[in-house]
Amino acid sequence: MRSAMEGLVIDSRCVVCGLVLALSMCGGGRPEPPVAPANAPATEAAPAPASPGSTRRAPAMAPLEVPGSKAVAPAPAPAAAPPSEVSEADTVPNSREAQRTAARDELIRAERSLDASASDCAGACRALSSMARAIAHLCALVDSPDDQRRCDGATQRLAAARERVRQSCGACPP
Amino acid sequence: MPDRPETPDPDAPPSEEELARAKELRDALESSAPAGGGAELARALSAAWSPKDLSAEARRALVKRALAAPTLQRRRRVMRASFAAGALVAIAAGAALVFGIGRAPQPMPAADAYVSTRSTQPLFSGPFPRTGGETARVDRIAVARAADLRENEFARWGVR
Amino acid sequence: MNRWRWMLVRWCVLLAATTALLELAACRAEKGTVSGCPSATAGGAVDESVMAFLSAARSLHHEADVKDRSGDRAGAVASLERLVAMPGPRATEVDEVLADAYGRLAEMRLETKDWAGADRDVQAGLEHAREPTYFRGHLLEVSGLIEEARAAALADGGDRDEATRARAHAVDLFERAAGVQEQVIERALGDGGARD
Repeated sequence: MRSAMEGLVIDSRCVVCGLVLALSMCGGGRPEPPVAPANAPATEAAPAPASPGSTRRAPAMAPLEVPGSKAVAPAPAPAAAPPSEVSEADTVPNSREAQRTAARDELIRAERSLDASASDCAGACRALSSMARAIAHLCALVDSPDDQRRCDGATQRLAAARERVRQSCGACPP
Repeated sequence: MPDRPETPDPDAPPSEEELARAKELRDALESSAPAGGGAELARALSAAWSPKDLSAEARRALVKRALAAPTLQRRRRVMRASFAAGALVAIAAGAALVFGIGRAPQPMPAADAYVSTRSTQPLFSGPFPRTGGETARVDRIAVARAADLRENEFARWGVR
Repeated sequence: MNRWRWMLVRWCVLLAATTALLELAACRAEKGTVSGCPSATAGGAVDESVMAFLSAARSLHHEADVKDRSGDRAGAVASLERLVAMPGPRATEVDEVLADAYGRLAEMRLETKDWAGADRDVQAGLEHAREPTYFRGHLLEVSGLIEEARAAALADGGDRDEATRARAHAVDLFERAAGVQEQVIERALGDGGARD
């Protein structure tokens, strides 16, 4: 009986260790760049290449992505060409095809970068207008020197944010 | 009337051979040495009818034999080892699956390129009005994600 | 207890644990799917459950519009209450739509001076917008508006102390809202922000 209990405890220890190991790995023990985080915290890490504006794909996806609302299928890789075409083609068309693919990839990357910038700016402008509204209300409620100090501080921060957005994105749409 | 085989006379005096076999049986019953044939049966019947205490020698022999045979301990050890091995195999299998050990690098078919869920903010290019506009926003989100779902369905069907 | 029974129990424990391990590992291996993993995060594929939620949310927002335009504010609120009560899959879109819907609901209740209800909606909406996002900032802004309106109503009713407290709370909330939006701007522009 006692040995059976001990055995159970030993087994349970092994099993618990295994579970902890598996849970730690399943629960995000290591970073997962392709997974879109909730509410776009990715901007903290790498805003430029993986901006909130870009279309994120599920894990194990081709790196080619096109930002925007509509997901565009990744450009077919050269390897995706039917084998018969590959076998009958000589090296020159292959090279042309590779050049075409490279050019298309470059174009997609440029579009993605542009759209990401536009999306970042749109988000910044939206936040800026909300910030301005909140601070307007805050300053309208000033009733004490302390309130005034907070209003002044918030107004300064608003001015700094506005300048930052202007420098990065130009004028925000009305 | 045909001749019948003669049956031995029960009242006849025992023969020499019978006397010798009777002595053998008596000796076998009194002794604890191994004996064959009817002696073992006779011993069992005798023990069932009037059991006797084990002799000190017999008891010692039994204890010695029991202690010398490590079957129970060995079985416990085997059980414990099998459980530990089972747990280790389970952990190893989990780790292998997690890390993808032993999994050949698979080609990335287009069908795997699912469009993932993400923030809707990039769908909107301008500031939101102070109040209202939620319906227009959800309209836009639903239309955009319907397109994403179509893409995913096509990818799943392998027709993209 | 019987030794064999104990052995059976141990085998059951081992079997259950093995199954759990394999399932967890499978979760890890197939993070692309939306459901199944206990620690699944947003970022799964856009699937029918996400689309079904968005479609229903769209319908209910339109329904609320129709009722509101015809003067049925209670009906409009009821439509939005149905929306926020819907079970939704785990997806960023779902959280954003819910946060937005709670914001609308809170503003509707604010217009009918249902301060407590409006505050409840804001708090519920904030549960769907835990990160610094526009929606979180907006919900805090609405929360400030609720406290501001409540302070005015209390002052009109002669409850000056409570009005002062509500106004101070409103100032806090507006300051927090501004702070969140400031973070949103920083994150949006980040290190690659300067693109001039």
